[in-house]
Amino acid sequence: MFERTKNLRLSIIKQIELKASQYPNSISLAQGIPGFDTPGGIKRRVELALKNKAVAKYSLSPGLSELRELIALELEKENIFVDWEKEIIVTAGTIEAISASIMALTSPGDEILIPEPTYTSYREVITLSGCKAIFVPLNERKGWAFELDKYERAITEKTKAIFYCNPNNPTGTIYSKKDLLGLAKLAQKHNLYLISDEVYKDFIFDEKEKIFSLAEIPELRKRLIRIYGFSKAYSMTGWRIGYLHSDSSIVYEILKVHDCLVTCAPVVSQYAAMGALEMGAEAVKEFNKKYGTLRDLACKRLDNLSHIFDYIKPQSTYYIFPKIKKNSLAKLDQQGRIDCWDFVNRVLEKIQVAMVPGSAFGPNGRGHVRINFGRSRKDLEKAFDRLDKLFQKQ
Amino acid sequence: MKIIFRQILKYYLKFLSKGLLLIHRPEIIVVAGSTNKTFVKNKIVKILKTKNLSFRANPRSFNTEIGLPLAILDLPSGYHSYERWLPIIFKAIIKLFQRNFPEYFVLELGVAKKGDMKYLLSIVKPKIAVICDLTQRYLESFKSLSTMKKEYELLAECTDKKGFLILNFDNKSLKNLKTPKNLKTISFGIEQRADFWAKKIKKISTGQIIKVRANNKTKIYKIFRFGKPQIYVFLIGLIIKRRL
Repeated sequence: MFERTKNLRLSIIKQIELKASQYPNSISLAQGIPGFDTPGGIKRRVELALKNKAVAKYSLSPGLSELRELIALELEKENIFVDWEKEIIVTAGTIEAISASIMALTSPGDEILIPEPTYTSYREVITLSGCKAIFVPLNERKGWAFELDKYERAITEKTKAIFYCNPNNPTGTIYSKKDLLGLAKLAQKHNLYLISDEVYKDFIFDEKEKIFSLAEIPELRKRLIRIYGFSKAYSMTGWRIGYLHSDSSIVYEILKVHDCLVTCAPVVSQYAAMGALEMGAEAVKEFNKKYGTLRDLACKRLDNLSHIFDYIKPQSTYYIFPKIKKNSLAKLDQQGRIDCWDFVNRVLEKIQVAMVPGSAFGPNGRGHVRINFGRSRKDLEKAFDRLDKLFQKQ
Repeated sequence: MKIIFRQILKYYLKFLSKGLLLIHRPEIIVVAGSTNKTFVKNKIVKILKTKNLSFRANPRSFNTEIGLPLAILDLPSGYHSYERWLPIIFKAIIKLFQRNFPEYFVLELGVAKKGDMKYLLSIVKPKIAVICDLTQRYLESFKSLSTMKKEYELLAECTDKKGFLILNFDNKSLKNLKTPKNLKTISFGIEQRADFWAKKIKKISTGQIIKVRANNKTKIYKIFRFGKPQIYVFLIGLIIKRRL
């Protein structure tokens, strides 16, 4: 019974959210929800589609052709060229794109390398597909960068793919072009697929123009599946809409799984995605400006807590991933490391501030917490005020 | 209130943009059809740039009753904000007196319902018209594909007879489109023999290699884009390049 699901975990982030909701006065900096509402232009695009009675029917399985065309136009701006008829699938969020891709590319027993700490649900999707997630640690001392030799060592004859998130959740790292090219070289050498989740690609601070993607290299198109979702950049987590693109030969196979899973992405959300691409650019810029300010605020407040946390300033995303220093609240685990689960629980109990324990993102995340600074400024300030009070220097 | 404002705005912008076109008389290239319009418009813009010709093109989605005149007047949209519309309304008049007017306009025409084409063609008279494709897209607003087809027949009818019409011959509806006898039509296609006919398409890692037969000559091209729609874009580009 339940052979397929017995090794799956329910999301730790959601467990924390649930626990936090039991406290009436809690402030959650846990779940990766943006602090803004979906921009008005996007909603009006949906209203128009509803008025035109365009949303009640299924779309084609890969998505509305007008949306796929818009996506291809958007990709051209990023120096990525695809056949919008055959090389794009509009999906029900990124997690569906990830699930469909892994199911199409792998056979049970295959191994998938994932740099960690990284997004918690990757492991579950890989397990659900009957594959094994092999964690390859990122180097915190080098700003959570890849170490290619560790990948080389982790590759076995069962390895099928390398799956990474760029910019990375929870560390906020943007992988360097050099590191990504190194990863691509490795994938070519060992005949592996690359799955690149770029849901945070639009979170650009520090006047960086754009984030490099391996999808810009046409020679890699038969090896790379690139995944994007509208959830984060356009504040559309509830709409569950995203897309993937790759070479037509791969997309053809993924489409079969996508069709089995959802038939098509919700059509109403596909119109919302069209609205995002047609009218959302200004809002994304505006959000980025605000997230940049919130990041700086979070860093400043963490500086005041330097006796409790060490951190690396995130380059992207709306997360910061500080390391917990030894302190009165932090219990040590059996290996003498800080038990971040215990720390998060105690903080929640004492001051009703919810954070995610770093171990949720992989073994290398132990001793850390993930803070979502993308919430409202008021909540962020309030949460840090409580932390200040809790960790007052004696 | 919103509806009244929109109607006033619509005719105000129409009046001014028509006036502007009348004063400066640029050559107008329009791109219409259900798919591929922006890719084709971008290609034409690229050709005009390489030929050092001055032009103005409509930004994405500025292709309807409000968007098109805004594009002609080179103004942004105020979207749903009265406050944002106010300065735009004032600037629109000043635009009538602008100098350094471009020689070419490249304009996408968006037709989402019956009558849209008639309205847009009451603002612009195209010298060159491209109809990229005619598909089921937006069909929910039309009674049938033949009603939709009539919109494009109107475009053919209104195109300057000294100019020409570019048509996708792979599309059955467009191949049989009623066009005025005195209007030159140039066709393109992959599946059907056309004036610009792409054959033997080979996909390579960096794009596609195609053989194009035109004017009784065959030439091989390498394009750094993928898929059939991009071959159409390329063929339209070849036609425009030779005619400008």
